[in-house]
Amino acid sequence: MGSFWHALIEFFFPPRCPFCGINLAGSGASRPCSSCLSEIKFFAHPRCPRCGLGFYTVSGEDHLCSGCLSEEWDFARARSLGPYEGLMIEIISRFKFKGATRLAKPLGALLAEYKDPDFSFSEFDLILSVPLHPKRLKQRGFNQSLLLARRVSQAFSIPLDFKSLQRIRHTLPQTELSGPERKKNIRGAFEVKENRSISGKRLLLVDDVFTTGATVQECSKVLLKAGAKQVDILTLARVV
Amino acid sequence: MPLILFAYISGIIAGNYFHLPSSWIMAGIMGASLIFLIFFFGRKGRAALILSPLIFALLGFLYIGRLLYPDFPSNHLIHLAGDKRYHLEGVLYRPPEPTEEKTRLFVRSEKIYLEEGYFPVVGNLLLTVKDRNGDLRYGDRVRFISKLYLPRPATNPGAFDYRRFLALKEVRVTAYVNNASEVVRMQEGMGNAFFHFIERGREKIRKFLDVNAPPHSRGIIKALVLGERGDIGRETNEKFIVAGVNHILSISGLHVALVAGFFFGATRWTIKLFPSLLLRWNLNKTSALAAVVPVIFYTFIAGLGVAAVRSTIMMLSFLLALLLDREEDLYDALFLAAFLILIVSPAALFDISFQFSFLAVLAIIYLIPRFKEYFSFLQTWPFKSWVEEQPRWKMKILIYLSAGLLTSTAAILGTGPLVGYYFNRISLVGFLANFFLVPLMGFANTLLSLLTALLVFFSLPLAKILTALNVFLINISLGLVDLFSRLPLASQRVTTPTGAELVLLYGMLILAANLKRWKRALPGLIGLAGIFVALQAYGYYAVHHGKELTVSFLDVGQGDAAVVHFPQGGIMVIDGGGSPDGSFDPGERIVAPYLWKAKRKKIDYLVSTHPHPDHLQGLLFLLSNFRVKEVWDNGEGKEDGALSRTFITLAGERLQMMGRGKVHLEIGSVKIEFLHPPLGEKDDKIFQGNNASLVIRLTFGEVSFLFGGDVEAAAEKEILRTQAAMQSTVLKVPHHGSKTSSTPEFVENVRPRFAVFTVRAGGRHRLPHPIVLKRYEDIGAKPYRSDRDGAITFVTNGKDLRVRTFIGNKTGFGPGRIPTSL
Repeated sequence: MGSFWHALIEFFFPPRCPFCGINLAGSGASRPCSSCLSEIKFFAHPRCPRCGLGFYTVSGEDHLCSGCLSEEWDFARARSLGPYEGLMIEIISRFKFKGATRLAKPLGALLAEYKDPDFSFSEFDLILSVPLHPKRLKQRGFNQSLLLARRVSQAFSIPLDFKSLQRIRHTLPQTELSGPERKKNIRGAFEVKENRSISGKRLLLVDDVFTTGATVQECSKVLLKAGAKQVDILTLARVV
Repeated sequence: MPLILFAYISGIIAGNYFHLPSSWIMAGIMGASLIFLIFFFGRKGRAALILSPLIFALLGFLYIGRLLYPDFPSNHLIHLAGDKRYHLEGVLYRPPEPTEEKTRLFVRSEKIYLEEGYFPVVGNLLLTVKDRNGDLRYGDRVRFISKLYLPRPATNPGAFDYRRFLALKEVRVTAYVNNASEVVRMQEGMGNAFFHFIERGREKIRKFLDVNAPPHSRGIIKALVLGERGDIGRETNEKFIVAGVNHILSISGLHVALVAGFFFGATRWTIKLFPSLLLRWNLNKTSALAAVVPVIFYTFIAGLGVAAVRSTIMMLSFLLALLLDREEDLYDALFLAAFLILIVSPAALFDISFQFSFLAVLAIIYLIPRFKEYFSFLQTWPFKSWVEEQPRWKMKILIYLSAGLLTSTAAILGTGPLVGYYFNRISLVGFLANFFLVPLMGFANTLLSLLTALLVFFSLPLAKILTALNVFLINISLGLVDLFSRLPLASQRVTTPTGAELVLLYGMLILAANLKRWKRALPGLIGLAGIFVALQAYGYYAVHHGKELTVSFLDVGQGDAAVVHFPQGGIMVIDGGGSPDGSFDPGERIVAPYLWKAKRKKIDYLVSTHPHPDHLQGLLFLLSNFRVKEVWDNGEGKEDGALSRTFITLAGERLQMMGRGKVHLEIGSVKIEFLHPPLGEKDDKIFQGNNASLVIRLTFGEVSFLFGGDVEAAAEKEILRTQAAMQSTVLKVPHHGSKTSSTPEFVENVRPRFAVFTVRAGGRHRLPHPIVLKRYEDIGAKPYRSDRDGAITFVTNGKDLRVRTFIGNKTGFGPGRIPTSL
């Protein structure tokens, strides 16, 4: 019966590449087509073991990047699939700003497929997402990070928590600010409502884009203060 | 999916043109399906895939064949058509359709009462009630007495085929009663309970509007909510067509999108009030789910018109795509809608509103992204800096306006050739009119009307307030429509495009849209335009340098209408037909389509033999819709009758009185003689009415045509007295072959080789009179009758004469299989 439904849906809604819309009848559904996948860049080694930034050099050992040498991060590790460039910018902006929430599925799947020898999903007790202020949430209608986090949570059966961490201050959109301003803007924006649910746990915080790290750093700070054992970050892309 | 749809449509079209026994096709389908299954289970998926279009093509073929060439059971109504009146009982299987002055009832027959008792019968019939007073409803079992008729097939080139039209609706027989009291309700509530529920809702809305909205707005609101256009009125309807905004009145994508958008938006807005819900629910999916039921409900309330159903399926497929997290592709949704509609009713393919509705949407989704590319210069210097300087709200308005303009342009271009094909009219103000009326009428009035309809069930006072506001806005809309339709050059009459021209026009449109995408689009476009112009030029040349004279006697029922094509391209129309009650205009429905099909927009000589309605009525439409150079009449009827007063006003200074004594004319190399009535003896009143008919004779080489009008014995005698040589090759028999005319002396002297009787099939007068017919047969004339032959066309080069009849074989209809398209 399930396969019948599947076939019926395939007939009426032929599977298409979620990114470019090309008809993929016959191949697996809701996966990006190979040409789109080849257009997306993924980080490889060598990279910064702390913030996950990939280096342009082809060979060599992993080593801390200049940013992480000068910056004090509260999170243990941050990982991004690849640089915030080209097709990724376009897809994320469609997802985030044009309300194409159906992209949560393929993008979440990309996140869940993230592979790294020193990063395993099984080490996490709880998944969180960077919250939006209720005002922004009303404006946008959804929280893109939560949609991604939910996919990851489903893929690995790790519980999802979207209540404990909250945004209590309505801030200017980070996208409109520069590095130092961002830090200042975001300070004190988050609060943990329910210490009990996160204390002693290893958390994975999911967000869409890692820009300067100001937002996830601020979140990590309050989470650790509330008793979390460890906070790691996973984002789709990071600005390089 | 598109392939299967294409195959299915091809099957339907093929089945429209030829017919094979359904058992053969069934065998084909079985065979193909069997092979399909073998391949499928043999894990040869690709091979199976190739077969599925074939199966669907055969299905389409079979399906339409069963509609057009059915095998009627022996107790089918169709065998009862004829002169006998029957006492019939049946159930209304569709809600009654009120038109301007009539009501149409669709009856599924159950039994007939004969003296010996009742007998079960089957078959659907269309019962026309000649008033609008009935209170019958869907699901009523009714009884009535009427003769049964076979609907008329097309009998003239370019004319509408009513039999085929009804056959595609599975209606094979028509019947008529004069007023609603003759249809007796026996029982209520037959049929589907859900439809009753819907019908009760529709009735409530209808009654509210009948009481609370003034007549002119009522029709508009009913059209927007219930999909009923009967109350709009012919004149208003015509204005909407001229202004190119007719589509707003037929419930389609615009309206369905509005309903969906309203409920989608309202749900979205409500959920947004509770941010905690936003974290749990997917906002768009929830809102989409909330829009599903209202959209479906609206489609039912709106009477399940094709365009509405198409839009709803498209809308549902979008909503479903949203719910299933699928990439919503407009083409997929459109094809899905087409496929589902055609599976349920393959005849919809030939439905005008189906064609328009799909073509418009296809044009919008195909053309708009391509048109947008032509505006990419806005992204470059110097426009870019200008665009960036504008305040945000200003840009928003500009974007909204240009999107509206683009959409209406795409829809107009996409449907334009087809509008020309069906309505012989291209609205030039359409671009402008839509720009104003889509927001005003398409959105504001539709939304208000729908809200009113909804409130009828909850709060009558509120519904009344909304209606008042709505009526106010409708008046503005109607004023605008009126204004646009009056603009000079608001619309242009066009001749009927041929198949080749339609292909060329659409080819040009596609190439023009892809100038930026395809390298060879520009040369291709120029090439196609060249072919198009060459075709036009050749057509013009062929018409104006012909060597043949063509005379067509059209079948206008009881009445006369003949079209003469002169060798050098001139057109003469002699009478335009007419119906006794004026409800059917042969000028509009028969003569004009004939001329347009022949690619003519100009009439050089418009001739009225005498001002009786069955000759004159149709000429009025020709006068207002063709370029008419000269108008001839017999000088009668300056004062009598509204019809002839209108005629004289419309003709104005072009009008000339003709008659005996007028100098003979030469048009091309055709001689034109006026044999009757005598000019200048009008005051004597010797010849009046039929006897004053203008009698004309055309002579081309050795071949001559005598147009006898309606002259009777007295005038015939006068003609014989004054004319020396009367012999003519073809005679339009005077007065439709009635006993009053065609005296033995007249017949003897004219001695036609061909006698043309313009008579109505199944008419009350039982013409031609057997004695008259025999008189012609006795002198060796070959009779042609418009009731049996349809349009009768004579072509001559001055020596040889060829005759062509529209209906090929003269055999009548026997029992059993009935050809539905002739």
